[in-house]
Amino acid sequence: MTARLDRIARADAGLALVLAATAIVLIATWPVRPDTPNASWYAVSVVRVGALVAWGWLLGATSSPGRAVGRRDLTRLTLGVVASAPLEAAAHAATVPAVPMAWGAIIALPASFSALGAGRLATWLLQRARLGALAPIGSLAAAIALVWLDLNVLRSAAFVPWVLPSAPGVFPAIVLGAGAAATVQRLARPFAGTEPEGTGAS
Amino acid sequence: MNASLPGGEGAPCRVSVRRALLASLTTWAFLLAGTTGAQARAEVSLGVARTPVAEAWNPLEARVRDAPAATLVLTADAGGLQRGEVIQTTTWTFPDAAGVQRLDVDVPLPSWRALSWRIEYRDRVLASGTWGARDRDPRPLDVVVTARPAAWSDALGPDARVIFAGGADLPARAAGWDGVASLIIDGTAAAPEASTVLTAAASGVRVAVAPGGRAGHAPLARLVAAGPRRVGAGSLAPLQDAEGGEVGAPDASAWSHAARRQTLQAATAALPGVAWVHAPKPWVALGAAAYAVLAWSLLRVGGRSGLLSCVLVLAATVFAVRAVAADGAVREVRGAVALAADGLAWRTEIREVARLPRGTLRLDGVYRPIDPGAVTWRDGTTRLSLAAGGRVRLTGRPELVDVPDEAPSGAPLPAGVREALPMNVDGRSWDGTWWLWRATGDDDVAVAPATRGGRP
Repeated sequence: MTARLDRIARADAGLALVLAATAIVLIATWPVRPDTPNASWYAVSVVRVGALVAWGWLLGATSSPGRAVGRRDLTRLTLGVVASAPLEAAAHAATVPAVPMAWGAIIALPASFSALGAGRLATWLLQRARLGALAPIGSLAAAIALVWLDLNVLRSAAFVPWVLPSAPGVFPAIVLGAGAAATVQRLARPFAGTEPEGTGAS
Repeated sequence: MNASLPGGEGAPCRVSVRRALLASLTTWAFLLAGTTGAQARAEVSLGVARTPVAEAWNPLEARVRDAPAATLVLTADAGGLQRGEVIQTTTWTFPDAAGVQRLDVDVPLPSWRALSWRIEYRDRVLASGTWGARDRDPRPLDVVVTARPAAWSDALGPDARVIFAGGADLPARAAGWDGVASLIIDGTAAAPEASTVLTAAASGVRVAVAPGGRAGHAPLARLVAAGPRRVGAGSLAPLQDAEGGEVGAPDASAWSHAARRQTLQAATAALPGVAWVHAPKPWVALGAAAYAVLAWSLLRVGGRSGLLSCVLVLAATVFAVRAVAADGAVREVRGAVALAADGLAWRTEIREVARLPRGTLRLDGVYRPIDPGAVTWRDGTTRLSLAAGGRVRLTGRPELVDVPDEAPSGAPLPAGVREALPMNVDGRSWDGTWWLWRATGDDDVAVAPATRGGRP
């Protein structure tokens, strides 16, 4: 059991950045004057979900292929989502927005998992197209294209991190849930034994 | 003798046919009459004597026949070139009963670009009507109860908005008099109820009553027997033949429509705004930073001890979240303004309501927003859409109240308020209400209603 827990990813720079960004925005947007309503959640939720999605995409775009690495990335993101949730919960309780607290708490997980899967997929496609050298730029371009597509065509808010926390809906939940399920299914299904454990970067 | 009388055998037959025909015709006549009578009818009267006044409360009377639970919808576009379309909708539901049903309410009207009404019953429109922008007039009315309208047509000056009304056309509630400047009863027509006249005076109307008059005017004459006097926000005075002022001219004796509105604006501006209680920012900063560092460190340590410690920290944050939670999603501040004289006061509630989540704010009672915005009044409730953290200031429906004995001994008004009021007043704050009296010695009702060239 202890050995298994030790294999779980530990806190790293990515988690530190997510926590720091969320906490700083919470503090910065916390009101002082009594005539100002608390609106900290609107910024905190955007920064938290945005940071987790960006982290997921970055992990997907930069990690080496392999399920062990993928599982470790999923664990990292899960820790990030869980560890940053209290900060968003505090902002939510003080802001009392029309959006349920459960939406912000839950949607960050499938959103970051989907970003991880999409990042890996984009990188893999670029490598298959023999454009591996352009992977950093190409992956970023793919992310921007996805956001543009959602803003102008789909209008679902599923791929727009700064709209997603304030726009609960069935369609984004289904899309991101399906994306997260596909990512987990691809990366975390029982290890076949053909791939060596622990090949991912820590 | 077997001879029968002429037509003896056929006569009963013809008689029965005739009777049957007659009965049939009678039945059809009754059926037709019944059908015609059962047709739903509806009518609406808005404003005093069907004359609506913009930017004021107006009496609204509506009747329907055989249309149970029919709905009256009054829609006003309060927008403008800069604001665009601003829709204010008033909806009232008639009682769910057959026969003639009546609604008698007061509705606030904005300065409208378009104003329309319709009565709906089971997806059908029974009746409808509309007023355009040309019909909009914010000038208060000068109401004359007379049997000789021609004599009064020009007596009140060229700028007066004179209407002639019978006693039955006069509103019974204070809000209905909001758009009326003066009421003149010259004693030539049937007298209105004395209570109605007193309500008008207390609601800010300058009332002039002829001391003599037709039979039935005695109760009204008694109201002014002691000479001019202030009542509530208005005044009562005998209709004089004195030279000098005009009946329709602004008069210091009463709180005019404009003065009342200015007073309400001053009171609303002086209302302490809604205050939110926030957890102190230094504590929030300390807690957030400490949590972030602790959670990261424990996860960095890893292993069973690190993870378990982190889980404990996460559980502990539940208390921290509860400590910083807002103490309510809706907050409000209430007050009231009462313009008092002679034991009666014209009172209007003012309130500011703020709401943290965006959505629809629902208030019991009909309230008018200070700044014209989209609002829906439905069966005596007010509904407004507010943005997240939005706030709105509203005034309530004017009403008449007795002046409590404790009011004159209340606290002084807040500093600077007196200067914002449109006239010299004595004021006290008691029980959340500003009680305002016209200062004694002010030029007042002695110059009240007199016609420009003498009584017509």
